[in-house]
Amino acid sequence: MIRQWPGHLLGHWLGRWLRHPVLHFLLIGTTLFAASELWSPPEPERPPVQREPILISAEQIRLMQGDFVRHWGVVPTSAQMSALIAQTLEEEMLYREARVLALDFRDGSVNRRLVEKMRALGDRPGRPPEELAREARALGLDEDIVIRRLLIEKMRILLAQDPSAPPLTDADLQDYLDRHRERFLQPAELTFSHLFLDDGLRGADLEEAARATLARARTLPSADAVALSDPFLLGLQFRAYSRTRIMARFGTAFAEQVFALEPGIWSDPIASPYGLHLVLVEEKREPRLPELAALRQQLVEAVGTERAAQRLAQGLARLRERYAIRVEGRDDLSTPGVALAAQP
Amino acid sequence: MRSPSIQTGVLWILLIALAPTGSAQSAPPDPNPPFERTEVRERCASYEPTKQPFFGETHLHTAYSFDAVVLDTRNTPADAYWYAKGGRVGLPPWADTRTAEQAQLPPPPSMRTYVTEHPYCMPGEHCQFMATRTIQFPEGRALDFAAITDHSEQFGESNICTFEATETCATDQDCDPAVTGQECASDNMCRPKGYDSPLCSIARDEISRLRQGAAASIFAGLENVSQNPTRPAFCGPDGSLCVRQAKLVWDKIRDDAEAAYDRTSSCTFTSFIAYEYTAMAANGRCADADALPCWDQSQDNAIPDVPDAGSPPSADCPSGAACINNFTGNSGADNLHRNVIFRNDDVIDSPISNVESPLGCGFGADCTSTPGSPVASPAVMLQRLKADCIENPAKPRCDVLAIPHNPNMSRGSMFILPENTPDGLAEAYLRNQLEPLVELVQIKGQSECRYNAKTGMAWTNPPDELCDFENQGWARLGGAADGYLTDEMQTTESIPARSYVRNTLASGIAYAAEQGVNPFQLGFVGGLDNHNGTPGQSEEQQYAKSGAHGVQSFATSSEALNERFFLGLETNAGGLTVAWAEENSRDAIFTALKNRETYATSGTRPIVRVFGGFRLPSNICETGDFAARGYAGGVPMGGTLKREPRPPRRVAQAPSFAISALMDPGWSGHPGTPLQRAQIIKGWVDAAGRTHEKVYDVAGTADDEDKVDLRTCRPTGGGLKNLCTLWTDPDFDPARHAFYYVRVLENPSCRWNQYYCNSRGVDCSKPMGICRSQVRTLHERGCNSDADCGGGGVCTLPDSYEEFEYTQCCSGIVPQTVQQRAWTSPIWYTP
Repeated sequence: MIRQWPGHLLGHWLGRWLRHPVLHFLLIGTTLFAASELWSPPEPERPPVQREPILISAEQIRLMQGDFVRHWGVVPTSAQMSALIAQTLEEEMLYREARVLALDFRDGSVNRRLVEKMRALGDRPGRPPEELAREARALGLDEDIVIRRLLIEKMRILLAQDPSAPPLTDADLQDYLDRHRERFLQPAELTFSHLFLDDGLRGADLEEAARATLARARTLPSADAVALSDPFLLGLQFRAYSRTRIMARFGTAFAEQVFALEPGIWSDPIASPYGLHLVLVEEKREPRLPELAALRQQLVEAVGTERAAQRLAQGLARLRERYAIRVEGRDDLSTPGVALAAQP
Repeated sequence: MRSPSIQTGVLWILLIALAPTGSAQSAPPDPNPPFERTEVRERCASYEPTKQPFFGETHLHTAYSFDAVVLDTRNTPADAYWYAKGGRVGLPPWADTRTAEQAQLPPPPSMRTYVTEHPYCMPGEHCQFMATRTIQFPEGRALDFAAITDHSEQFGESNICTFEATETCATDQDCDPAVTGQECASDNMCRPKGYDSPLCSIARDEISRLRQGAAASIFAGLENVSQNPTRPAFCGPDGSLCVRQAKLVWDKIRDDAEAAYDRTSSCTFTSFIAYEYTAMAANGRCADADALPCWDQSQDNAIPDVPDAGSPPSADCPSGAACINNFTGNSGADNLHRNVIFRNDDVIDSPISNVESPLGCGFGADCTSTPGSPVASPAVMLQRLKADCIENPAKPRCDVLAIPHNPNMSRGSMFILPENTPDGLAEAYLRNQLEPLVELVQIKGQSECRYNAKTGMAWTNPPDELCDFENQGWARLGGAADGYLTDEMQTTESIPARSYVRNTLASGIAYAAEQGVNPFQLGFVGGLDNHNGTPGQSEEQQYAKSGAHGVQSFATSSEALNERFFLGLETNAGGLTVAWAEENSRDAIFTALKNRETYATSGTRPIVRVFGGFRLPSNICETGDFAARGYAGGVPMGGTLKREPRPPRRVAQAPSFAISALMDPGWSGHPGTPLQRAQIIKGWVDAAGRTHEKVYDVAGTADDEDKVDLRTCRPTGGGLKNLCTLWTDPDFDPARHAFYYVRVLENPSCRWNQYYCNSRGVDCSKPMGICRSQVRTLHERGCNSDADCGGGGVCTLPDSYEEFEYTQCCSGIVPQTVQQRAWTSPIWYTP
């Protein structure tokens, strides 16, 4: 059943409701809400962040130079001096940004430092730590070398992080592997045969025997030539030996000479601690990259570290845009800074 | 007699059919290798079916061992692997080279660390701990594999007491206590609970004073003893605080091993997850010379090694003598340690240390009332290892072995036959399965053969003068022995035969002849037991510079050259393990260890290969394919020969042994020492069950005169660059159990103390000093004391050495040279 409102009753009902204060409240509230949504006035409570220009004075530069001389005993080169100034600038930016972001707020380490300093001042027995910390800030004791160091590190960690970064894919890992070939390259390896001429057996005839054996070996297929060798404990063929493994078995000089050989031909006699060897390099395997699977764990760590370093560098670059930098006497290190002082 | 030529001919055909054809042919890696592959990794490009020698370390300590970190060792397992692979690491003492500003700052915050890392920097850098000495292998001498074996009893305690904090904190919550077990310590740094305990404070105090003793001994006295080991109070009432920290350390050890392992096809390096089980049994000793160690129930002897007046006879001592306490006056000095090595990364969740599973008296035996059952049986511990690893369904790939070390310091407790305990046979099987190897040589002496403590000479029957080699007194570990091999308490009677491997091999086959299983079927490995975190550093000249025990060894010459100091003159540079394996991977090398296809060296790197068998071709040394023919006609080192079935009316054939060796090639600028000779040592049991031994020279000569220049320590000629021989046992009895092992000796070379003395300019052919005298005839004359320089004259020493150094270097008691050697795992014959 549909209940219909009779006309006269509807007018009466409406009139009663239109006069009802609840409706008035609702209307006023909605209007205010809509107005606030539409107009969105600037937040009056939050003052714009003022990023003062960073100035490195000639006096500071002189101090840096003096410290360097004291620590290292030599005057810094101009490149070293530039690096020192750049480091000082970077730390100053990181510190200032950490303060802007209030990274010292509710930081246990910072608070403890403040409390310690207040206690060192004495005269405040039994006061709660929070109160001491507040007073320390009021006294400006938070301008402190330890706090500064803590905040710089905290800011660095913050810039290097990206919690929303997608997980690493095989393509990321492969890309890293390709870009860092040198680090992961497996060593070059030789597969070679040798004909051994035993110093102990041949005695004075060793060199002569080596020449004769070489002449015969070069006329024979390599599979037959091995019959010309004196017995050798480790056998007559060595598969995939790296330079260091050859060195470990036959000494440094032998390894160097064998690695310089052209493949496919019996070499002139090469000396080892045991006698002379005619060597036939069968295969030289150039340094190569291993399969991804064999390195997965190492790569995941390495890419993680690299990404963190990139994010840190990008973060620092963003910071540099926000500050006007003036280094006295070094226009090359000074930048005007984008007019960003008002940007939050 | 029928001509043997037909038989020989048939054998030859068989051999040629079996042997791989043409060694120059490039065979592809075997898809079904003779070892089980239990891990995911690339195949090795250098796979060799007839195997190759790999040099490695099976016993090494780092800063994760409590007795190493208190010696100021800062190398961690990660550093140790870096060194093993050829990297450079630092050694103490450390210098604080921070600038004033750096010193004022707190350590930089880092990722939260659960396990202390002991960071340092290299010389010339600025940090709190700058190394003043560094060490690195010469090129080509890096290791192929290494197991790092820190003392598992104190993993947690060490992490708690020596934690180097990097996290600041306000409250305990800042330290994430649920995960790390850390709290906010009094200096507002996060540290594990217990860091501020008195015992930990003592330990750290020792580090800062560069001395060692009290703290490590207190820990050992609690945790390494055989009777009711406990954890110190700061571990909490149930020890759980330390157990939790130990787990963190164990996980780090596993991670470090993984990071060091080369899983690529280059196969450049293999790491093994491992730990040391460090039991120090508190056995007493019967007044009877040959009795087993005994259970000293009261442990109250006032005077070391002398029975208390009126002490009652002990049930353990056959003649009814008293059980007297051991020489140190305190218990716990019988070295019954084992290195526990896992096959792959599927390992037990926490180490089974002496605290979890102390040694007992065998299955079901009551230590306090069972005669002849000293506290020395590893049966319960091995059973637990087997249950938690090999037979654990949750760990399908887990496999493990244990390697006893320093039986020479076990006072006869390491190899007691399990014949008196209720279930001795079960123990024998367990030992046979889980203890296939023994560490024959290490920094604290050789354990091959018994020697006479009074004379330093071999004490074998018949005499084997080559046993007079790197002997260290059995009392030395307890720190109570007297002079160099002349200790009053180390009488010949007090050095039990059971302390030595040759005697043990013999007692093992005697037991096998009766019971059918050999509890001591022991192959050989060599290790360092170095506490510097430098695996494989067994080179004499380097040892003379760096020692092996942190800042304590060789900090001053009075310690290095001191025969009374337990890390002094009697120590040596330590041994190496060589494994014959198809490739350098965990599966291949572990299989070699398990099969005993290994040999020990006293530190140098000769290459030795041995096959024993009844069908070895007589010309095996003349043909090129020694290994292929060896495998085809016999068994390699570590194997067992079974009795040959023979036709009736034929004389039993004796087994032959093919031995081939190459001298150590040395490295750039440092030639290796040529080989002198090869010997076979045979042991056997006669019909009456008595054991016998005999040493045969089988290659080379006994000439050892003038083979090294003592001033330069370079070889002066002579000797063999390689050797190969085939030897047939002339006294073979096919009905009797026997074992055969090979000893290959190098020519004499400088012992480390000679390098030490040379580096200080000591020349024993000249008097100690030079006279400064008014009397012209006496001035500048050589002298050994002021008296030599007449009245008013003074005998002055050069700046390079002190009087103590000259007298020790030139005393004549300490050998200036040694004959470095290799011992191959035995080949057993069972009828």
